[in-house]
Amino acid sequence: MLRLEVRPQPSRAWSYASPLLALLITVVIGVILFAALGKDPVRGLQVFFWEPVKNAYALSELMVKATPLLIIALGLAVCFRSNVWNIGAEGQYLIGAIFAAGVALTATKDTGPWIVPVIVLAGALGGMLWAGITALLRDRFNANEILVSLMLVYVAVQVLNYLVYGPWKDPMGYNFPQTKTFESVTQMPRLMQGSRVNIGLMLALAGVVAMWVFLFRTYAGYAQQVGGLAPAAARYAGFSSRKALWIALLTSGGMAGMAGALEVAGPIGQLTPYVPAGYGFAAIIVAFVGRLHPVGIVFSAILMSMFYIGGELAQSRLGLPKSITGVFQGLLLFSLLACDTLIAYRLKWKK
Amino acid sequence: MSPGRRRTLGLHFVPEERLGRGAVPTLSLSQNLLLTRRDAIGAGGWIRVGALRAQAQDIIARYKVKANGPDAAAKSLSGGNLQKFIVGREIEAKPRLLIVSQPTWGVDVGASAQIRGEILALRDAGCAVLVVSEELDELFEISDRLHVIAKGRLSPSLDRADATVERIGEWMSGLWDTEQQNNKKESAHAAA
Amino acid sequence: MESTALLIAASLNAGTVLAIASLGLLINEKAGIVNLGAEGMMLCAALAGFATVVHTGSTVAGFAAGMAAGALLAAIFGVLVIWLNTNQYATGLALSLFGGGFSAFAGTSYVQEKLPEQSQFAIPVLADIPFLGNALFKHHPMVYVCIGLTLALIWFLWRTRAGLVLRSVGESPESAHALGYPVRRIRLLAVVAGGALCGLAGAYVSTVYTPLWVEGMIAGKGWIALALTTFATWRPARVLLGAYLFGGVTMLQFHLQGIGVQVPSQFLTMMPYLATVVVLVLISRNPTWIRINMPASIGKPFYPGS
Repeated sequence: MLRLEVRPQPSRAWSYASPLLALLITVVIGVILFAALGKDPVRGLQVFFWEPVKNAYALSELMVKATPLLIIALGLAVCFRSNVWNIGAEGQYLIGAIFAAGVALTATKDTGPWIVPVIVLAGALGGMLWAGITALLRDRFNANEILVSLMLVYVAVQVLNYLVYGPWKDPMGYNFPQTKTFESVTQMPRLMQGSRVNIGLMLALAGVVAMWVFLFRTYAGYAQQVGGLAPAAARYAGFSSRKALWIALLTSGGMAGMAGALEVAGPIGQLTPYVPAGYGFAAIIVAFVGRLHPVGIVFSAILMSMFYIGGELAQSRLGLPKSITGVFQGLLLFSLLACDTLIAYRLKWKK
Repeated sequence: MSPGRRRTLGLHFVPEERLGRGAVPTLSLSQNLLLTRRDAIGAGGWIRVGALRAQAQDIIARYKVKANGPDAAAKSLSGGNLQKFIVGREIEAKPRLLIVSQPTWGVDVGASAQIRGEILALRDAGCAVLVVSEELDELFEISDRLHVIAKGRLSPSLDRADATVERIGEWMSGLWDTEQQNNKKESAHAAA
Repeated sequence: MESTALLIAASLNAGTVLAIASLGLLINEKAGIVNLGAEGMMLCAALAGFATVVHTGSTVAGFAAGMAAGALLAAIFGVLVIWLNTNQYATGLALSLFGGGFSAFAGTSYVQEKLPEQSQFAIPVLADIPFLGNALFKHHPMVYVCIGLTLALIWFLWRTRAGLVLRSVGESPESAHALGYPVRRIRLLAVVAGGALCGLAGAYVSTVYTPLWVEGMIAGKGWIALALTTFATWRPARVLLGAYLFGGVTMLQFHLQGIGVQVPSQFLTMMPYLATVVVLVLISRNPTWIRINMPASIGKPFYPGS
């Protein structure tokens, strides 16, 4: 009988190896899945792990996809480390996109490039506002932030639909539910010719550094995490749990909103009902797989965008539905949770 | 008054629960310093990691804490050693008043003796120390004065010289008033 | 009058979905396990049920398939959470995300499928009563099964020994373990039973309530069901009433549109979700009220060795 035995010390080796093992398990299940569906497993692996990185253009597309995931996950890492479970990042992303679109739609042919930072800030503001609702309800009424933030996602989707089917619908848009395409001056500036990578990537990398500094080198970041690790110790130290709650939610909301702004004023270029792409939920997985650490999150964001691109390619090249991405994402998280057991426990064969 | 404000005024506290309250189990000893000590915090809240480790190393050496260095996780220490670290952390803050709750609960004999010695040394250095404990032997050993809390009330102060185990036992049942009444009656009797 | 009767009928119908799922979640929460994967389980079960009816034509088979799907996913969740002691909230979340992704993926070929015509149900004699007949007695049998389920659960939890054991496992698994009860197996049973009921609710949605398959069709009902167990302080009768209330709020949007209220449809669609938030706020304001009624070991891992 296989038994689990508590380790005297949590294994550092396994806390690095666990995500890798989880990835391996996911790949193995993926291969089985491909075979069961009658598709060539090697081709499947190729589409997911080789195609997205095989040349400079592919890499740049990878970065474009990874940017929103990275930004949102950084904010979520702060939140989860503080033991605040913000599951509604998707809603904050949407409201951020809406705020950004609102600013972008005011632009005319004569507007200057100053509008770009305003758009990004508007997005962050929108996200913070939406997350602030969750924070307020938890702070004042003790309402569970998981359910509140999640319900607000559905509400945010309806707000988006209302705007694109109603007041913000493009009069020249052949009655499609979409806003008019934003003026080119509002577009996020691209970093180099021939690729769609824009300043969002710079903001994301700046975010990685900022988060690392905040979490590991500032007193405020320390106070946040103690609140999440040992609430009694936080009270002993005099750290305010209310302040921690607000900082956690406003940070993750702001990051999600900023990601929304960068997407909508960047690759998408207008507001449509398809803006909700599930990045807010995928970012949860990115945060976990990245061990809630800024550097780990960079890697897991890249991995996750490989899943996204692989899914799109699987659709066009192998005839599999694009939603296979969601299957792999879910599998990855499941396997990670299972493998994490090995950090605290040892597997032993006992009679 | 917030804990932070209390500490700036010189009031420090060692709680009875070590892991989970006095120290965060998964954080290192140096990181646990930051719970109550701000010496290694620079301008704008920047944590000076080098200074922090040095500070932790100093406490480890001075209080003879058996640990794998300042980066050892708090939960890897034995109860006695962790208590020595926490007590050391608070004493090194040079408090004006130190409150210690159950200082040697769950602590081995050697560490207990050391902790008591440190408390006495602190007293000698001019700091006011309030020890809350259930162990009468310990209190009798280190206290100058004793109070008893019983039935939600605080007894008057009793000098160590006047304290006996029986008397304290009575007081623990809340009977210090009757004692005083008896004394008054006796003096009244004698006077009459 | 006529439309009010229909509103009541629709509310009962909508509420049945929430009630069945929520009762399932109640069972596992009574044993101390929170399963945030309700939405994912319901989605997979909805697909399983729909696909089964497409291939076999039998609604009952569809229900069975849904229950099986829910139970299977819950079992995986249960093993992870009970034996490997993974974090209940994170694992439940993973289940929801996985369920969503998997159902979207596996269901692509069923999107355009249609189900055979539903028969109209009516309880003889009772259905002819004016107003009440339309409101209460023309429902799919599942509505009545749901009421029966509520009563059965009340009886089970508070009038049988097994129910008592279940509740004690939820309040103090350590004591139950000390008394010799197989705590982990009981918890797994509770989790699987809960998953089966969530699955039943999911299958009902796709085969009877709105007979079609679209990805994400559960639209948050799993999450609302979770909120409902807290709202109802873990009592089955309150769960049922709360579910009908929510059903009413959901149906109100159509009713309002029907009587010509000029509000953009999206705001009406928001109503059930906003209602959930309002309800959560109301119920959480008094933390003591929740703490008294909540099974004490919810969310906490149980280590039999310690």
